[in-house]
Amino acid sequence: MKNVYIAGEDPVTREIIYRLLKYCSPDFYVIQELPARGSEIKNKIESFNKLAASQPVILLTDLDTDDCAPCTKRNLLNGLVQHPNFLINVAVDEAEAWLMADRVNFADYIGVPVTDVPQACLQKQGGMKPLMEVSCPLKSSYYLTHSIAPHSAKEEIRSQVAATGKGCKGKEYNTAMLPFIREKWDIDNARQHSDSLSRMIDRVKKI
Amino acid sequence: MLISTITLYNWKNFQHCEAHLADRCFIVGANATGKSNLLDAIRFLHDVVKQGGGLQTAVDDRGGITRIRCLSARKRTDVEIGVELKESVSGEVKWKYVLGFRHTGGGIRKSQVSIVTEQVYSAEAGGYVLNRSAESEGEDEETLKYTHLEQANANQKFREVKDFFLQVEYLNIIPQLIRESDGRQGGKDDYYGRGFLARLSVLNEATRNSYLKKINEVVRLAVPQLSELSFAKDENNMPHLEARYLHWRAQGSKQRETQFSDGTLRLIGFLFALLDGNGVVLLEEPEINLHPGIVAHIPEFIARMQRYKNRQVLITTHSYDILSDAGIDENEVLLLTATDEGTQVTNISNEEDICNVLGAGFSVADALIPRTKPDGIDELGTINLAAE
Repeated sequence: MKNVYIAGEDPVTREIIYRLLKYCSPDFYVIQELPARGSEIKNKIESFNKLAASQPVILLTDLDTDDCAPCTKRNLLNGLVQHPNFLINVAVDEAEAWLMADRVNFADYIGVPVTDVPQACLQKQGGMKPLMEVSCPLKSSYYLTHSIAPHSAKEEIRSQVAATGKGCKGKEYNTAMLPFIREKWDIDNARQHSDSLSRMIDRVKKI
Repeated sequence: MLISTITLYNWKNFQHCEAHLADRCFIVGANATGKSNLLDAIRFLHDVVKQGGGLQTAVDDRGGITRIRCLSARKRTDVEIGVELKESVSGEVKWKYVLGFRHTGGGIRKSQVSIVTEQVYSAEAGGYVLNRSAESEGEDEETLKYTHLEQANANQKFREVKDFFLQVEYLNIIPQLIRESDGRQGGKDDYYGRGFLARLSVLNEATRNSYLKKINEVVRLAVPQLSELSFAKDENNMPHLEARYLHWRAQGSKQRETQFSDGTLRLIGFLFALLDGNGVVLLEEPEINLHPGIVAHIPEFIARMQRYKNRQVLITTHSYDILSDAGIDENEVLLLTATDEGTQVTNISNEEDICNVLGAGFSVADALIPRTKPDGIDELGTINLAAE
């Protein structure tokens, strides 16, 4: 049994970690979820790193406003030497983009034409090599809740996922998205269209 | 004195457990793991010795022994509670008290319980000062219905143990009950606040004023609109709490407890439980109705009270804010986990994984709240709430 600690910012992120662990090996056992709400990750980064000395810690966070994943990592660590068992994974640009990377299944689940879901393309990130990532005109969760879900053919998705206010998600966003991650999300397909996802899988497989 | 160890056999959620208690002890676990039932074992011993109590009454008040016995029990049909008492956490065991009982009667005979064992160990005497069972000399069906603990002429050698249980304090204020009380109901054993006002009214005036002064200091900070909390009797001689509610008028206006908020009443009840008496205090989820900003101060407040009053406090909680207090150490926390063989009680200082998390700098809340969350709770949203 491979014991690990996991940390994700929200239920969607945590569910993605669970699904990826299952995908990578049946032997993973999550000792516990660690708190990682908003600024908690940065405030507790030293604790995550220290804990990794006992068992691997898998953190999944979003790129948010940073330019590239290495920038996010650098900002989080703030000079701290990363323990090899502390896996910092940055979803570009958000965990929702990893879900959209399985474009056909995602469109089918949300109930929109596949053309409504952004495509992946090579993007210039911080490094020399361009990376394949889903290209969203806006932050992917915002784009999903404000531009994609409101046009869904499924009434339930419209009421659960589509935002009613400016900065928020749908009123039952997590309830609607978790079953997709558990049951429909084709990771093999998604990783073809998201290098950041593929890299996380490679890291987790090395544990 | 304090309870250093409690051992339970066949008690409600617990098929068998042994828990070591600190002088400030936080009891954490998922819903229905038995946090309140662990406290209830201590309340049971209080009920045995209280005025008008006794073993049979304590069992009857809980719906009979069938409601007490652990559902996951195997062969054992008797129930047993054992406690060790010390003067301080680091001291030697001063007393041990064990009470075991089983069902008797049924059919045309009244269902009661019969003592299987009652033992009292005294460190001072260097051995057992009481060791009785059905086989003991002079015991018969009738004598085994009563503990020696509850009988004044039989507990001379361990009166201190009886007095200790008598002083156990349990208060779980339910604001609605205080509001609806007529000031006469309840008594010393009014757990839910119905007679809270009556309890205040029977206190010596100087003691009451001293308590109210301290409660006022806290209320002034937690509820700045309220001041001058005082005790008063109305024209029918019914007891009330009064306070001045400050607003745009220079003098504000007087309010009585019926107008206090739920949080204010809970806070007053919580403070009263800590201030009144000297025995063990059992606090049931003190965070209810209170703002997280106030709740976060509860652990330190208890610690400060304990500096001048040697009083054990056992607290059940789900509160992230309480358990985030950096001053809580791993020896002060009991984790309750439900298993097929009943609930297991662990002192988290014995759990390597949890100690690793704490050692890395996370709080007790960070280490325990995610663990006590039900595994499938995220699926709550998938339940179809529409009428069939």
